[in-house]
Amino acid sequence: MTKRFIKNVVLLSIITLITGCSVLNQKDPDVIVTTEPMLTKSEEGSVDKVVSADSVNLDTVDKKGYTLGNNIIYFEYDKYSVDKVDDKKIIKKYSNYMIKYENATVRIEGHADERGSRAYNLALGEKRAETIKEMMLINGVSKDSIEVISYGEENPAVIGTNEDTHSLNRRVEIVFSNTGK
Amino acid sequence: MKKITILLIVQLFLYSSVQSELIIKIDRAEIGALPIMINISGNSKDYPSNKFKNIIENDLYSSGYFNVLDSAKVKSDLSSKKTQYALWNLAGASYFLKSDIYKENNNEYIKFDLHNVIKKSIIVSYKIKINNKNNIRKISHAISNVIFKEITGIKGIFDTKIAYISTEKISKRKIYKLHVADIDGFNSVAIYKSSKQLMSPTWSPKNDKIAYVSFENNKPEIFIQTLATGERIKLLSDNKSSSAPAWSPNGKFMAYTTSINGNLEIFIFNLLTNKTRRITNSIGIDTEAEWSPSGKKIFFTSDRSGKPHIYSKSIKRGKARRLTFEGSYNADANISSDGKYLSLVHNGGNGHKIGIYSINDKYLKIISNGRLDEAPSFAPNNKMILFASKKLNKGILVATSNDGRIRKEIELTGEEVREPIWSH
Repeated sequence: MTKRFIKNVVLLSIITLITGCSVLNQKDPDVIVTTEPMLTKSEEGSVDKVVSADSVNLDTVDKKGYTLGNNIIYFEYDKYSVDKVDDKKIIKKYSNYMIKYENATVRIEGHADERGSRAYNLALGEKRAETIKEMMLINGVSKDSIEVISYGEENPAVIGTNEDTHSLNRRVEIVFSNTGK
Repeated sequence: MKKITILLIVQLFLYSSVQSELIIKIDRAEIGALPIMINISGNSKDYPSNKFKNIIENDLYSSGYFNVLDSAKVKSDLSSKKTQYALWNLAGASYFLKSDIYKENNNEYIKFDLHNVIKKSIIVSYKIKINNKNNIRKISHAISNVIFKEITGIKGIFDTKIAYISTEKISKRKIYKLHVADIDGFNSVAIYKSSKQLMSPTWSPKNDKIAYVSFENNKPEIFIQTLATGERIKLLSDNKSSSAPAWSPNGKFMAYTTSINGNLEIFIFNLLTNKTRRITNSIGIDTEAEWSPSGKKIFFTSDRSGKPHIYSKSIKRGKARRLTFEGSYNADANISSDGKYLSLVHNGGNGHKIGIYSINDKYLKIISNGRLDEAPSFAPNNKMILFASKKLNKGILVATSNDGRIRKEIELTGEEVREPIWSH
């Protein structure tokens, strides 16, 4: 009887503590936004996609099978900085996967739009890919598991000569060369 | 300025299944061109005079400096020199090439006198032994060079070459070809073909080799190919990406671009010792090295100011100096052989065009009107610029004189052409 009572009191206090916490969080929206478990959950959801794609023979599947869902990061004209939160999330997602699966290797492919000098565009594509590589290294990915390659302006995602098509061609694609599983 | 357009269509056999045609369109101003007549007599089975005549006339006409008049109606075999000059003058010619193909001791020769009709005098005379049918083009271009040099005082470039890259789609597969051709578009040979990207061809100082970038190992790497033998070597033994090769004027070094610590930097490879030396050090992109004629400094493209601009730097020591400030984009500098001018790709807000930048005057002049013009290079006499442009979304080559008097478009049927570069 006494034992059971004590147990209930302890349980009740724990509940109060938890409730108190969540109330505190709701008052401070920033805390909720940056809550770790939410991010982890969505990441694991995406990682699961790879598990299913992985069960297919990778030699025959489409190139898309080598990705963790969204694998393309777009850039401004003549720029190579990554500023958007969504783009940083993509890089974080790949970094987490690479850390989890140590044998995984990626190829970071840089591209530029058709305007201007071809040799400069090759360098621009390489710098864009190097920027993504640097961010993955900061996230803790081993440098030996990342290969960087630029195609310059030679492999556009879409054909066209206006800003809409140009903006889709200024990109970096992250592709697994080995999913590490 | 009144302009006249002529169109030439040349059949080409590029060692490929499909026969391509080379289409050359010439727009030129008529005013100020020097009137000249070419007369070649003598009939040889192996060396027909009209072949020489056609090549020389085409060379002179497409240079933009000459107006070629029909010599068929004018008598050239008059014994009286006085009457001869009077007749040529009456026909409108300021200059007259009187030439003859003949046999002497079982050898065949072409001799010629170049006359100044106004001064009633011979400027120069030559006698050339011809011993190989394959040399007709070469000898004709050599004669054109003599005429051009003697009359204009400018070095002739009719015997020089161009290299360029073409792409052809064969049942969804893209084939890349590296070509070497005469500047009039003839004698085009695909010296290397690949299913992987080829880019950035550049001539060795002696014009006996071409360095270029090939993706055959699934990344950009620099290769050197010897033209006479076809022998190819990979420049660097490491497995890194490398690009934008540039030969030093003495042929001993190759400048190139590779990444180090996440930045694109320019290095110099010593072709004798196989040692590399780093030249640039900045955050961002440094690429497209181009040597000064003295070999003491390089020009290059850098975005260290936030946008691509042209810089110069001593290869020994010292800071990089920024040269271009106009517009939002200046890249791919190519230097004139006298070291005074850079041709470059410029964007002043109206698309990518070709500009000529005077190093001493710090003045930039735009000489093209496309929106996607790129890859400029000077002719060896610096009087023309060759570059890549787009015509109805198709890659073509354009050669234009610095003063805009003449513009030549070179198009290949069924193929896109790009990245032309004039030999030294």
